[in-house]
Amino acid sequence: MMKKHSKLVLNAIAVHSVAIFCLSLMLFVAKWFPYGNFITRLQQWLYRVF
Amino acid sequence: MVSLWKFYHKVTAMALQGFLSFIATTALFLLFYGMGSFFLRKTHVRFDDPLLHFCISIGLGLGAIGNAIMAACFFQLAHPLIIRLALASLFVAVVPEIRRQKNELIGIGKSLLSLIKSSGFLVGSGLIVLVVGYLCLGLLPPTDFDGLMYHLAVVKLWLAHGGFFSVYFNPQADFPMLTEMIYMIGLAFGNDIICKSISFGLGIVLLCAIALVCKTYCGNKRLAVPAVLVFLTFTNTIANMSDCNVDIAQALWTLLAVFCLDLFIESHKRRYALCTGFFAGMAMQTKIFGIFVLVILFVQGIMAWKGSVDRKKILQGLVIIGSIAVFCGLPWYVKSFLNKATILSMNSDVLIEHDFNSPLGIETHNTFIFLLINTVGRVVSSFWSFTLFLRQHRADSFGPLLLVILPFACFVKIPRKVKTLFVCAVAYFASVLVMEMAFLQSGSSIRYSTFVMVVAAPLIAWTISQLSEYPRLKKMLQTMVVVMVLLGTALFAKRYHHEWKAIATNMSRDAYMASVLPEYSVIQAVNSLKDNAVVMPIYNFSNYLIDVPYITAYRNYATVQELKKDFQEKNIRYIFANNTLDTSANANAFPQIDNKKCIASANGFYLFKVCLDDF
Repeated sequence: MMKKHSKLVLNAIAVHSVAIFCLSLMLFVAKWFPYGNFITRLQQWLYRVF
Repeated sequence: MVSLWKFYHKVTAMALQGFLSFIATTALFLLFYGMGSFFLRKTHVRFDDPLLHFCISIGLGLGAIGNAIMAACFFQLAHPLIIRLALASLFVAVVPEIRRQKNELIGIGKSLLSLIKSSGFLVGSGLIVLVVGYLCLGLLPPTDFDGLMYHLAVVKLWLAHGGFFSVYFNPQADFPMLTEMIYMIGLAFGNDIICKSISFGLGIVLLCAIALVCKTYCGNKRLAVPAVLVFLTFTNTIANMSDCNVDIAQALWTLLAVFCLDLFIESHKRRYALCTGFFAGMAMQTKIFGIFVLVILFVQGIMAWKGSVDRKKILQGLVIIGSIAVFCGLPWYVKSFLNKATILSMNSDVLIEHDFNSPLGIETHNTFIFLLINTVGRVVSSFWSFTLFLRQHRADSFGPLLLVILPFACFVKIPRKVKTLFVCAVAYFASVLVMEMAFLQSGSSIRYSTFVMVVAAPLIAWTISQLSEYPRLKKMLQTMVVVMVLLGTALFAKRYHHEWKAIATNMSRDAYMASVLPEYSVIQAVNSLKDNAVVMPIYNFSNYLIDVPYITAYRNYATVQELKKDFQEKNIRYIFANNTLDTSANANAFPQIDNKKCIASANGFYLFKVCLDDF
């Protein structure tokens, strides 16, 4: 049973979820499967930015 | 004949130990179940759900035996022979009860199997593969960092001593240790693989409890298999489930306390309050963070109190629960306080040089801004920081699924029971955050929040199941879950590649230990010392594996004379440089001692003989 809600909020949360998923997927792969220089460099850049 | 014996020995290298451990652990869990079931029958406490009855029975039996061993330790009666005889007698005594419950056990097994079958071939077989993988890990000797450092190391010393004494040289020796009392059974039988199998067994009971959450709280038992799969592939679970840790046990007792409190709230029967108090006490006896169970139960109780017509009974129940829980936890906390004058871990003088007080976040000289950033900022950003950034210890994180999926629960109607789960998870997480602010400024480990992940797994499955009005969104979230489960499975396979190799090639115990512990060959050299002198490991890492008398470095020395006097008084003649975190420091251990001779070294670890006369 869905509640009444703003579609904008739902979309915002969906976008947030996709962003978080992609980001953490990348960090997960970089941490546990560090076989690519590209991901490692991207991870280092992310840590600098955040 | 000789070659036949060699063949037999080769085939049974570790396989026989593993097989015997499996039999012993099964018997032990049957004993817990039989005892718990007996208590419940005699006290006329009934749980309608057979799976809940199973989990509660095991919990009660384990708690009773753990507390009995704890009492034996207080009275210096914890000798291997006494423990073995007592358990054998108890097992014989509960055999009739186990036989009485045989049909119920078979029924539970059948219903779990049909649940797995109904989840489809791929999902079901994925679950079975993972569970078998965890079982295989549980049948190997313990090699985990914390287990070797104190979970097993301290218990081994207590068992050799016949009971509790102040292990002043191990800073973690006075943590509450109910689970370790159960691990002591394995050591009393001379087989430490049983300790790991017990940990695996507790993990299986926790999986049953997660299935129960899906059935009774989320109202859909078909969510059980996906929820269990999600839980099994969390990095935190992969790291902890088959190790000699206590976080899985703490989460299990906390969850059972939540179950029992809900039953008390619904029925107002005092016997459920007694069960709640006992399980809350077990959580407190298991780990210091088990105290958070009181926060959860308090919040749960307040929610019930607000909507109840019989508020007095709820209040009485909460008082009973709190009193029993504190009574159960008290012996451990009093012991800690008497031995160490604190119930927390003490940072010994010579432990790793690390600034334990350096806080996370931006450092500033302005106190107000400092507090603002470090407190409010950390609380607000905690969901993201726990999800994205690697935490202390095993550099672990929650993984993305909690933050990605659970916010969508705001868009669906949440039933009261599911709301209870959310509230429990939030109450526990808030307690972890408060603890971080107050005590652990450098951050906490994800495994302290295992309870949050236990509750989150069914909630993730439930939230997705409620999004049927948004098929595209639902499909997207399902895909994310599948990706994370597959990645978690790949990580599980990768992380334990030494273990798979050890099982596949039926390695000997020594060969396996040497393959995963670089310091093992030096530890073998330590154990081969015959002069009865005391060895001083620099750190308490791998202390469990040392069989000769040892005192871990426990203080700093102002002068060489002071050091010499202490070494002479304690008959310390060897130094084991065993810093696994920075092996480069090992070669220069105790630089003030000029005259020390290296008698064994490997992979950056050293065993020095100290000549006290020539300081």
